[in-house]
Amino acid sequence: MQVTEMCDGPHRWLAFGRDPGKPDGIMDSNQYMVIIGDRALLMDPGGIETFAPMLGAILHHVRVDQITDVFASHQDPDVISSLGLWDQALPYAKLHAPWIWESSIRHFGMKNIEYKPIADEGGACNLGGSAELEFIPAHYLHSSGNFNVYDPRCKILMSGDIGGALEKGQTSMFVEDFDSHVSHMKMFHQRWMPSNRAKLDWIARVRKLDIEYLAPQHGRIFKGPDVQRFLDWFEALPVGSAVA
Amino acid sequence: MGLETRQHNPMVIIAGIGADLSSVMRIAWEVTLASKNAMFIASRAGEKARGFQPITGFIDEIASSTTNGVTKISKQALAVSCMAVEESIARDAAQRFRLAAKLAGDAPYLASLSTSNRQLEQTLIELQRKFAASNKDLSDELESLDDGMRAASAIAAVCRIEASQAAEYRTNLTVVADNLDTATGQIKDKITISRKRLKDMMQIENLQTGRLG
Repeated sequence: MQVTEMCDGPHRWLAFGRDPGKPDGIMDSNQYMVIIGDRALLMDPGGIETFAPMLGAILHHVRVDQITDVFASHQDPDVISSLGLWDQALPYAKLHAPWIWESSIRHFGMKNIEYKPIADEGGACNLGGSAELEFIPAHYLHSSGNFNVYDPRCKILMSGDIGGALEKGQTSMFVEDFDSHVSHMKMFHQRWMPSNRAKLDWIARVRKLDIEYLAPQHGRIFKGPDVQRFLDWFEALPVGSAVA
Repeated sequence: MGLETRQHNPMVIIAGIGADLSSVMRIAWEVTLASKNAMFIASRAGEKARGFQPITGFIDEIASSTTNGVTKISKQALAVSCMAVEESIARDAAQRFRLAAKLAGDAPYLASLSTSNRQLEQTLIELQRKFAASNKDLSDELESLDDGMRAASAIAAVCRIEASQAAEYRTNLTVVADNLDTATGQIKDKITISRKRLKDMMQIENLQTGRLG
């Protein structure tokens, strides 16, 4: 599992992805962790098949009991189907996830971890650092209950499926050429994102944030000026392509 | 999962036993109907079927004990099936934890996983122990049901003898005896298949978990 440090200092962000042992036929995914002091938040920890490589990679950076919080942007299996396993590794952790998906997410197995539902308007998670991590509403993009995580200190927006791209092979973790990257994103956003109205609501909300990294759950991370390029591109893109 | 693996999968086997036994319930109900029929005919026959009349009570008992036995075994099979699922999940989890530890290599925080690993291994051992004990109970219940069917076969033979002496009611009572015999045979077959599958599964489980057979 490739590990990329995105921010250092009091808030330390790590991106995990490009697992060479990933079975064929399952979507590649990025997982994220922010370490603040003696605590850590694990974001969109991934599917069952991702669990072992993720846990193996994480242990190079934190003790397992330091992971006090877990976040699931929405209910998809590639986001959180490993929950039953994390439930055994992190029995005292809290899972922050949309309130509407609690009864669905529990199907993945949850005997120990405490579910902390996030209200539609959003919320926050304080790991004791100088800045709270904010849960930004991103409903209907694509899931009906969906959140991003924003760290104002590191200026990172973990954007879930928004910004995602489908590429084969061991690609770079960062967008290097935005124009050529568009071809890997277009179909995904047009087909997966159902609502132009929801899209514009999210863009208006996110434009108010100071973002240095936009970090999606699939594909590459947008850095610096590419963040604004992505927002402009997404704003102009018609979505919901499966219906006329 | 290959066909052979599916065939030896405890979850599948136990669920299959439960499904087989639900068809036994239907057959047991037919025995109940046969016993009611026998009582009616014997009552009408009066003195001509005097020897048959006491047997109708035994037929009724067989139907009742078979129904009760199958109900009990079905519930047990369901509980054992749930246990098989839990054990499979725990075993899979243990394998994934071991893989994570292997992939962690010389990770500085690998030792922090030891508590979770230990608990998982203990849970797995306990589940395997309970699963083995429950399978043994299920096997004993199937054996008990099998014993009941041996008694039922004997009663069917006696029915046939008494039916042959019931004058004009002979044909009807012979049908009752035949129906009882057929039902008993069908139930025995299902029980024999279930017992064999359970025995084979327990042997494979014992090999896989390192226990003696």
